[in-house]
Amino acid sequence: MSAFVITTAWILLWSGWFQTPALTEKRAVAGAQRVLVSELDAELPPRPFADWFRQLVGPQAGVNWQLSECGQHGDPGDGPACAEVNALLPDGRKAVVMIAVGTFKNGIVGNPSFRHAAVEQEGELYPLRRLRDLPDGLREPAALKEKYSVKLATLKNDLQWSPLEKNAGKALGGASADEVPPAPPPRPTTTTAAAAARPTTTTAAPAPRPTTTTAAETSPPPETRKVSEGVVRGNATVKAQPIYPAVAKRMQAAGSVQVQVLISEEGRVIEATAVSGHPLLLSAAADAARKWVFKPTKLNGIPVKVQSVLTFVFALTQ
Amino acid sequence: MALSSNTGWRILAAEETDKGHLHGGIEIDPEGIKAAVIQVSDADQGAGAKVVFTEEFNVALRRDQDGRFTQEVVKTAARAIQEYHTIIRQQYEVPAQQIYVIGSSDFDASDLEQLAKEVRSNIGAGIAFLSAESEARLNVIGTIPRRYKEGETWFDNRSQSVVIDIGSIKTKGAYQQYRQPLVGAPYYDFVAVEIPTGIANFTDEINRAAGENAGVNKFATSARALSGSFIKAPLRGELKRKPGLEYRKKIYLNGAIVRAMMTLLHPDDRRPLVPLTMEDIDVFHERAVTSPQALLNPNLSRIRSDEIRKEVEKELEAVKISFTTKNLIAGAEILKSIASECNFQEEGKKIFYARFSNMSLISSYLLLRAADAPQP
Repeated sequence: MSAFVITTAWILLWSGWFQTPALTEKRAVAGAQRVLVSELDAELPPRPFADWFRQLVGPQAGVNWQLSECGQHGDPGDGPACAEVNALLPDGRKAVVMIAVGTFKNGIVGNPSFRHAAVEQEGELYPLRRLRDLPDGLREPAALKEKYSVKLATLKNDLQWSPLEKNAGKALGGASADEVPPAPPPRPTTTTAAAAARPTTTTAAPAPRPTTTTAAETSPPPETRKVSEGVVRGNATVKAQPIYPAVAKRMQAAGSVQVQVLISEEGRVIEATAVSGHPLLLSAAADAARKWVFKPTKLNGIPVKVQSVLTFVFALTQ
Repeated sequence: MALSSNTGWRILAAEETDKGHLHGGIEIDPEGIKAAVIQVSDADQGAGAKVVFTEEFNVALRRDQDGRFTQEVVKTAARAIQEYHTIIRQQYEVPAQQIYVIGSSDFDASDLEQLAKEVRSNIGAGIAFLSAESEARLNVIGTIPRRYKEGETWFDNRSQSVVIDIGSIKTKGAYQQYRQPLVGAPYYDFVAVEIPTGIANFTDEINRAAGENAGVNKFATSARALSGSFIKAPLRGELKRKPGLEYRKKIYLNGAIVRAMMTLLHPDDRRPLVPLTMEDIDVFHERAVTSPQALLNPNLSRIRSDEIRKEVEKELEAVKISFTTKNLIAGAEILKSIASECNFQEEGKKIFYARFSNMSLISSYLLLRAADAPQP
């Protein structure tokens, strides 16, 4: 008999019978939605929390459920986990309720319990220590004003975008149906000197140049032949000249810029990386190098890739 | 007269603006220098604002072997800041006390002490260096829309979103979290996530491991092998302490590699927020490691509008200048690793490329300063 009990207990342990349920968002949220409101606050009715909350905020509110943190900033290790429900009401107010479900490391622990709630109204955050305070807070906004609140940073509207036409927003689309794009930087109104110097447009990629010289810049791959600048220049069929950036001129930036180029078997520039020179001139030089075209270089009759350096000199003239 | 661009943004001409409500800013970060001018429409009620001017000047802020910025870099940066200051002062007539210079949290004050001194002597203003937390807040405000609409219903957006920025030397994330301490006031916490791996330093690490002459295949294999220790492990550490990064449903991606991916895969999609999928990230990674040259030369003939094609060609040129094939592979590996660790593939998650988020920091900084500033 005792052997049977021990074996059964071992099997149950092994199968995870006694283990804490893993924390998944689905499970955490479902638990919080099902829990009776009366279990969260004894003065409230015995109804599933999700139904009660939906009725409270109204059918037009945008309600979102998710797994969330309900500990403090910088909680080390295993912070408490909550099912969070937040609602954006048609009048712009926001309600948030946190239901504790367990911890992120240990999983779901015990029954869901009320952790805290708040209403955000006219730039102020009103904390609610009891769930029973939420209905009054939402029904009578004026009543909230007598309560303790925290003023949020004076940032209500954020950056606005101003479409030219009514349809502009639609034309621009946005990510989902009515996504509101934030902070849309416009193009420059006029071409300024700084604009001319900029190697890319406002929307272009900032240069993620390596902080140190990469191998690609220092030695050619095995199938690549390294050729001197004199030789490679002699093979050039198209020689593009760099455009002197206006801001570089204004800032008296001059001198030579060396651009390391990798030339394909067909004689096209595959890669062009400026490796030395004034920072304001690097992009212009690399841009020009990319436009160069060369006669194919052959090794034993077979075209090969070539690595070389092109030097561009930027000189200020009066 | 108001000028307009073909994308529909309304841009205010300098003479159209009320000078007292203008605020200008210059931001310096490892990828370059950015400038912006915003016009505050109603500061009393919370700083609704229009963006009047933005510029971005890409200059690689290179360090010498001791990790210090070279004299040349400091001088160039100082002059560029001065140029932008002049433009903001003279062309947009922004009052001097309403022009700010900020430094990214990637730097600390001692990093750019000399630059700060030069800037102060040139324009009479110092550089305010941001903390990681301040930067997180500004990134959230500047990148993630406050709300979104489904059918006729508006939903709060920031509480369910996260922004991830893959930079050249770091990858940063940020999200807004409501917190209510047992004692004390409730607040919105802006959680900053950071791993010390970006495209440039990851490329260097792979080069070290794979050898300088490594071809594409060997480089890609090494990238995959190193992703565990350089990306996934530090990210897991952050996820344990900042689980919001994993659980948030809407992910706003930005950074040069994301911009490159969208330019190469979806060049004709010009929306400010472009939805993307895990499949995009997988395809991009696959093509980066198998045929990077083909990836860098997409077929633009399907773009019918000449204007858009020209715009895309410029972007493509910028991508080609900025990325070597190795940078591209390293960046694709970072992107894929982040996507897998943060479970981007999970049902219900939505991913977006935030096209204009490169200006989010300086724009939202100005917005906050504008709200604090004495009104004219």
